[in-house]
Amino acid sequence: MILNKKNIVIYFSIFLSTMSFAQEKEKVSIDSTKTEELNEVIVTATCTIRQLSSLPLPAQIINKKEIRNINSLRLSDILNEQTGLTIVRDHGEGIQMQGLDSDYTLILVDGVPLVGRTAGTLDLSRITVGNIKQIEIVKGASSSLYGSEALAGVINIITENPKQGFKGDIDYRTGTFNTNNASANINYKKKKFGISVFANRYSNDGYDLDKSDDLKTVDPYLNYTFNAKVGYDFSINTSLYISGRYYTENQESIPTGLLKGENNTNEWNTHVKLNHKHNEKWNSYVDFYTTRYKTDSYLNNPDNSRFSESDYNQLLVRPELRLAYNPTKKHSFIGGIGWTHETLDRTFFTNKPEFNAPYAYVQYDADLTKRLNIIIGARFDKHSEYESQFSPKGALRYAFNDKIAIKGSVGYGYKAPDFRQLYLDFTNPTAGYTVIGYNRITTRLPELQNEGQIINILVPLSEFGGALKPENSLSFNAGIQLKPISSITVDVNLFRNNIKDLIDTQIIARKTNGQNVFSYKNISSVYTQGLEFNTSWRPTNQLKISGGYQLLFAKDKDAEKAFENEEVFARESPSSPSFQLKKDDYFGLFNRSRHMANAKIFYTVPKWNLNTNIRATYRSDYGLRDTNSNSYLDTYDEFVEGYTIVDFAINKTFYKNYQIGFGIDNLLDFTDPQNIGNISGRLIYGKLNIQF
Amino acid sequence: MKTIKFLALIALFIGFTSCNKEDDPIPGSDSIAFEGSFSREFDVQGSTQRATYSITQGTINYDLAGGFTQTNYDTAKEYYSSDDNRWIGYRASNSTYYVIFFKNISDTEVTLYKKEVASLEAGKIEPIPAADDTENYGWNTYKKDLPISGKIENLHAPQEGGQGQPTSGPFTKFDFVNGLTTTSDTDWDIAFRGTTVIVNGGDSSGTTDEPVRNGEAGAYIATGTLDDITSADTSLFVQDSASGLAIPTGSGNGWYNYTGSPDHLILPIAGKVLVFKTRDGKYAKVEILSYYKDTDTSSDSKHYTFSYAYQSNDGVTTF
Repeated sequence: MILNKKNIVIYFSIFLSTMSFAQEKEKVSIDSTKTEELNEVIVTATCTIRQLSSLPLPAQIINKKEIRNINSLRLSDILNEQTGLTIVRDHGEGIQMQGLDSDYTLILVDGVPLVGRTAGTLDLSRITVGNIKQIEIVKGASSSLYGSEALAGVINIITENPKQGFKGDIDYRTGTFNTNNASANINYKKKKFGISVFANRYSNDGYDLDKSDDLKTVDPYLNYTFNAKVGYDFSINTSLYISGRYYTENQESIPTGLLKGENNTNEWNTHVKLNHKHNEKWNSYVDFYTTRYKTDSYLNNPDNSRFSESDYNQLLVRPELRLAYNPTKKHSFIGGIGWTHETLDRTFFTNKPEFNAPYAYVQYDADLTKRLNIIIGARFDKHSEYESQFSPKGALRYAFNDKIAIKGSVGYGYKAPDFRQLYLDFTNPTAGYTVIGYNRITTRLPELQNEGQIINILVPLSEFGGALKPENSLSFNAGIQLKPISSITVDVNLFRNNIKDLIDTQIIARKTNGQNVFSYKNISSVYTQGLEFNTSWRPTNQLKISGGYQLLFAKDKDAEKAFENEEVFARESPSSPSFQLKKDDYFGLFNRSRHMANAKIFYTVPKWNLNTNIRATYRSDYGLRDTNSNSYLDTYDEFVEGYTIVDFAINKTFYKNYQIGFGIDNLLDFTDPQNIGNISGRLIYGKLNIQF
Repeated sequence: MKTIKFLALIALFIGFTSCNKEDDPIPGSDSIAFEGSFSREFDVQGSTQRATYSITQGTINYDLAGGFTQTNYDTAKEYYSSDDNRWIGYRASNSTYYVIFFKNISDTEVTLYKKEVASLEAGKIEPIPAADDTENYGWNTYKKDLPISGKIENLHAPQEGGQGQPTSGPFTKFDFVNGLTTTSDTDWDIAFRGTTVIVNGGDSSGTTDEPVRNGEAGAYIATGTLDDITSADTSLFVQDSASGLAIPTGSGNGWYNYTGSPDHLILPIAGKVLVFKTRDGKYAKVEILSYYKDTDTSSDSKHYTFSYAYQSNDGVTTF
């Protein structure tokens, strides 16, 4: 792991200060029962049920109680408040993790992936949090278990399983911008058979940050989510779950004053899960997962004639068989084989591409001594359209005692080239440039040439003989966990991700219309590194105070070289002469804040049946685009100013089953209409929840 | 009066001593060690004037160019002494003798003082002016091979088509010699149409309405500030051809970046200097500053503002 001096200093100063703090506190009080967090279990990190606190990987859990107490609606709301995570809007609300774009974080629901990255981002505002049991976040490359996309990490949304008895709840929240969110949960289980049904309706009038034009920042939209899960226990050792989810959204689309249209999204998935316990040592699991993500969009001219249409239809089918073997309590093996079949039908694709990828993985998790835990694992993905991948990972944790533990992990992560990068065949109807997917070049370019559209070819076709490589990274995490007294936890994690073979566009030919033909290529290498710090303090059972901080450096290696070689210049105003920039003037990648921090206070008053909380999330300056004409983000560029969002919520329960809530999101009414479209300003809401 | 007498005496004395030199048989026939073209630029009522002395053994040509006034004449050498760097010549066009005193002579510059005199003999006894003498425009320093520098504002380069259609329409041609746009079919060096920049050298790239190239112009793109790029690297020049333009088109390839959504601006890349060989083998450098009228990005596009330096001397690569 490469660290600069600054990081090491910060690391040790935090380490030392927490150590001394710990010693002082210890004498004062030794707390009794706060074992709740100790018992939290996570499945995402190892594919097995695993105690979070003893895990050698950087991971985090957001439980149902927290989701309820802050009255969160969509997954994007709650993730944005977590240390080191921030929501980035780019064709949807995506998550930035360890400084990596949202394309590189795998999003799972009950262990199986969501699809529908039309332009790379998986829109997290699509996911309602109404039926979530907990959200699990694992940071660092995790392709050794999950294959493609698990480069920065994995977010797994665990939904409730049917529980014994009959119960349910309805939940309604209304607020600013005519935001209405209604959910209903019904759960029934008697002996072997259980069922849970969930429905959610969410609507919003959208909002307008920039009143100077006729267009809205966010157009009105309406969506429904339906979820059903049926469980049947054949015996104590064998159970079957079948779950289905359907999501539909309709949004108006008014991109210019003249054009009007709609975007429709439909998504469904089914997941069949069979668990069988053979004996104390052997367990097996069978998953069969199918999901389809569909969008249809159109825009009409003022005379109602069609201006443009686009659609997207992705299908993923994945059977997987998993075996767990626990020869003793201290050793566990897990292995799986599976097969992914994927197709995409999309406007601008001349064919309907198909991916087929069998895979296998194995993992060994062992407590070698009482203090030392290791995990080693690897996965092999064979793919029909790009290079096969071998993804290893290793991690260990050593506990000096109950109060101090260190952990470290190294893993390989990759993201397969997507359909677009391989098969797109798109000519912009207004600008006239053409983008062709890597696998289509050798057939499509000669066609264009025969049609007389090409002046000359700049990159010989012979360079497209091999396969496009997946983007890949090597990720390192090293951390220390401190628990000086039972009411205080401190976690520090240092991370570094070396990412290479990033796929970018390049010009491959010139067209007679003066425009270019683009295709994709493995071009750049970037790295992200930094430090994450999390602490929480529970002085009493009623009060929890937590804080988090992330320091981040995310840079492109070629850009660093260009600055070192004194090849980068800037202008002070758009038309002033250029001047040379120094090495230190390079800031890094766009849309990355050097500092992100959060602080939260949760307070419960049991005798009033009341809970309240206030949370602040800070993000320091970041650059969205190059403003001084050198294509790099340097310190002379205009930056988006750092900001803080403060949220407040209060909930009171009456007669056991009735809860009313009130809250203000973005209390300080922060907006930046110029740069930040997804922060709408202050949101005031009321909530009613009835359980039965 | 006393001073003049004293100076005359000194002049006589100097003349006398030089006469005594054995290696200088004919007084005033020394060869000039600093041949070449020496220029300086100065402002007169808001316009830049450029004065150039082109010094050869036999003649000194004086050229005054610029917006305020222009003149050009030859003065034939009658006398030169390297002892006091006194040069005397006769200008036939107005039948007048001039004396020119040189000092601070180096490989890159000279400082001179020019004065009209009644005759050759009068020139020989003319005292050397004091350093702070401001008569006759005083002493001035002239740089050897000083490139012509200028700034062109709002060069309009319209284009038809584009946006997916084949581009067409006449190019706006520019001539470095006059520092102006031109409609000449031959006397142009570079030309603009939309974001496309072509040179008067090589072959058509294949788009409609490209002018016939009849010169030997070429180009390359250097990285640096305009001041950093002090000479042309003759090994790097390429010409336009069917396989591409000397100044490549497209965002990030040549001189500009296209910012895309939401601003859709064409912005010149900082630190890119276009180095040109002109139609007749001279060298020039250009820094494009703006693509918008009055350098205002909210105004009309296809209006170039650029700074340039042009080396008018044959075979000289510095600018």
